[in-house]
Amino acid sequence: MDVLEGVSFIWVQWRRQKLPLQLLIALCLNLAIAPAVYAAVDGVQRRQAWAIGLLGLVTLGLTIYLFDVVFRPERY
Amino acid sequence: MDSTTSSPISPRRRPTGPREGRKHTPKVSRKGLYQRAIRDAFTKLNLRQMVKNPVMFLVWVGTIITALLTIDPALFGTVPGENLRVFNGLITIILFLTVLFANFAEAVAEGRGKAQADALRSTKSDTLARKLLNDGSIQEVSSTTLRRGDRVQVIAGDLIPADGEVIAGVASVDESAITGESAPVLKEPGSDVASSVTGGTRIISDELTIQITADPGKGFIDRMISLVEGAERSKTPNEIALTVLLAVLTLVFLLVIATLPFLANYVQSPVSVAILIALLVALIPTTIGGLLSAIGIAGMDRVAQFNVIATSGRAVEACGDVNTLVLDKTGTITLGNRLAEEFIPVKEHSEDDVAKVAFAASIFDQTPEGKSIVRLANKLGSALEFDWSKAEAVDFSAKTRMSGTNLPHGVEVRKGAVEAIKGFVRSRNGQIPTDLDAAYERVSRLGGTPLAVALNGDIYGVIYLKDIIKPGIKERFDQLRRMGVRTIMLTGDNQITAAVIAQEAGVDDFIAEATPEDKIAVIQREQAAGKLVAMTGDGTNDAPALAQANVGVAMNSGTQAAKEAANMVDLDSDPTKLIDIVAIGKQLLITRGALTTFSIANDIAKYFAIIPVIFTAAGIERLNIMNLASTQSAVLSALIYNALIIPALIPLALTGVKFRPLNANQLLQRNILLYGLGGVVAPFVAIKVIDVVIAAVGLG
Repeated sequence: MDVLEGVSFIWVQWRRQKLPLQLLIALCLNLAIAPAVYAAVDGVQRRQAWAIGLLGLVTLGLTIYLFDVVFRPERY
Repeated sequence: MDSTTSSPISPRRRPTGPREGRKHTPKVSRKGLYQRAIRDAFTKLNLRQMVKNPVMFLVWVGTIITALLTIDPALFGTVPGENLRVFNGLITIILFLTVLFANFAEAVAEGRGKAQADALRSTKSDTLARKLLNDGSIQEVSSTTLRRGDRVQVIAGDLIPADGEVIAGVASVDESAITGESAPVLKEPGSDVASSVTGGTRIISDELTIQITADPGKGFIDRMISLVEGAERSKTPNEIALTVLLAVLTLVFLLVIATLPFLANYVQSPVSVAILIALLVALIPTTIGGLLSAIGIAGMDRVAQFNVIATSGRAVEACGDVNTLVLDKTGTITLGNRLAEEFIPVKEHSEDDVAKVAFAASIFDQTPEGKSIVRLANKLGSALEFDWSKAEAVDFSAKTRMSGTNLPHGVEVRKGAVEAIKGFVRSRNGQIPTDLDAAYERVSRLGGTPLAVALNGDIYGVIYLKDIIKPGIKERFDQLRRMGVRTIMLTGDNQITAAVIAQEAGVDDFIAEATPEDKIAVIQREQAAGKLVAMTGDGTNDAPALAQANVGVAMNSGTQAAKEAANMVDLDSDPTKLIDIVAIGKQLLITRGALTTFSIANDIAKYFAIIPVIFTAAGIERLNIMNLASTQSAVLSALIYNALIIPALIPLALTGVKFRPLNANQLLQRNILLYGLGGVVAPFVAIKVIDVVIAAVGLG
């Protein structure tokens, strides 16, 4: 299964099975995003790094959502 | 329908009086509309509903983030500034109100439809129906158990239990529950226009036997309820295109705003997340995003106020794009009740002879034309010279284009289109009088309809049926022409009559001696040329053409087949209303275009209000052309303007931009000037005024 198929599978499945997706996001946030933000921004607390990471994910989610609106507008 | 002769297909009730007078269906109560809309505006905050509107969904997500920033201003890192909690709180409130106002606009538009649906629902009640069983006995059953094909008997005072066709009896029916028109309508079997009855209407005299044509929940009123309530509302192609445009703009601005902090940090002018959200909301097209669905719903409501039921928003919108109107002459361009004016004899026959034959041929003809022939013959002293109980009616058909009476002893009298009567006479080995064509041409040149009358193989003369063109119709066609809409008149009349009427009425083209098949042919020809076609119809033979047309308007007095094939039903059965419906469709598109232009033009002022003040450290304060007091007041002013413009434009979205019959170029120029330039200038003024007020009260 290539990456595109994987993304498509997750996109289809996330409505039905939310827990795995939530766990994946929490894992990514905890292990990759928050530490990366913490390392990249000077003088930021760990809690703020988490918040910025989460904000980045929300922005990414909104971008994906808007692309979906552009390509499948009849669903909205 | 139009015919060369006295067509039996003519609506029983023609509305009279000015259209504005019957524009609003009186039964709809608007009481409590705004209270319900406020309640619905809060209900619509549900994320599942918000996600349907991408622009407002983004604002709603922004509201949630700024609310978190109100609780903890340092949530995303320490930011400079005083009273951040108050500032973030104010942004949250303004963003929340922006979402609420957009929801309110949609709820008000939907509320009008719901009020109409409630009124219709009140006419639907579970009644007892007298079902006729196969053995002839009657069984009382609940109306909800009736199925297609069942036969029921209704008597004076009963509610008609379901939609059906009259198969026996003649009775008056009060259809005010669906049409708002209090005058009763005569229903009888076998007629194309008076045989269908609607469930929920009331029989007020005599009795009828009805064959049910709709299963429970699938009747006309059920369809109307779901349509006006918006239960079946799906986005129209135009709305989908606009949604994509708004989503692309929103996406572009989201990406721009998401990358701004890096630029801001680079120029040593860090920007808080709350201000970034404010900037994003100010830049995305919230005005049209908030009003888009309200404009569409209001368009359908305007059609409903004209007593026309549209099957979808797509149909209303298609009206706005219509290039060609195919119109019947009778009832649409002319008044419809053609009256006999003169009997013109041919050969050696006298006027009295023609009157006698015309009288005999019209004795069973119950159309206004037939009755007027009998009246004129009576006036000339004609009387019945045979036992009419032994006579037999010959009904008009579009194929034979004549009607008449078969008298005792094999005597046949006929009246009809001149060519049809010539054919009839030839088939009886008769001769065509030489002066017939002169009489026929004389009537045609006067714009009248000539009907030849014959007894067996002998043509007696011509009846002059006078046609009166509706007042003001020429001006309406001029308006349509200016809007780029071409009008084609279809008539069963001969070439000369059709040409005279076409010239007097000012139609662009006409098709004479048209058969029902010509209707569909002309629609297909126009569509092949890339045109969108609208037409009206009422008979079963109109159904294919109604289905073929991009906009098909069936008359409520028409047959069930016509109503099912059309995408609109005119409850007043007024074919001229097609012109109004086209105007409403165009108004819908113009309103949407005008508000989109205004919304996007607004961005310029909001850009100049916010960008210079958040990048002061970068030395671009000279771009602060409005000289706004501070960063905080600039952001708040832009957001307050952004929120307030939505409720300010709700009346315009609901009533529509005033319709003017201009062509596309003139409309574009006018709208760019009014809504484009206005959309640029208005926010500059408004934001400056709001900024002065904010600075004065010390909020900035």
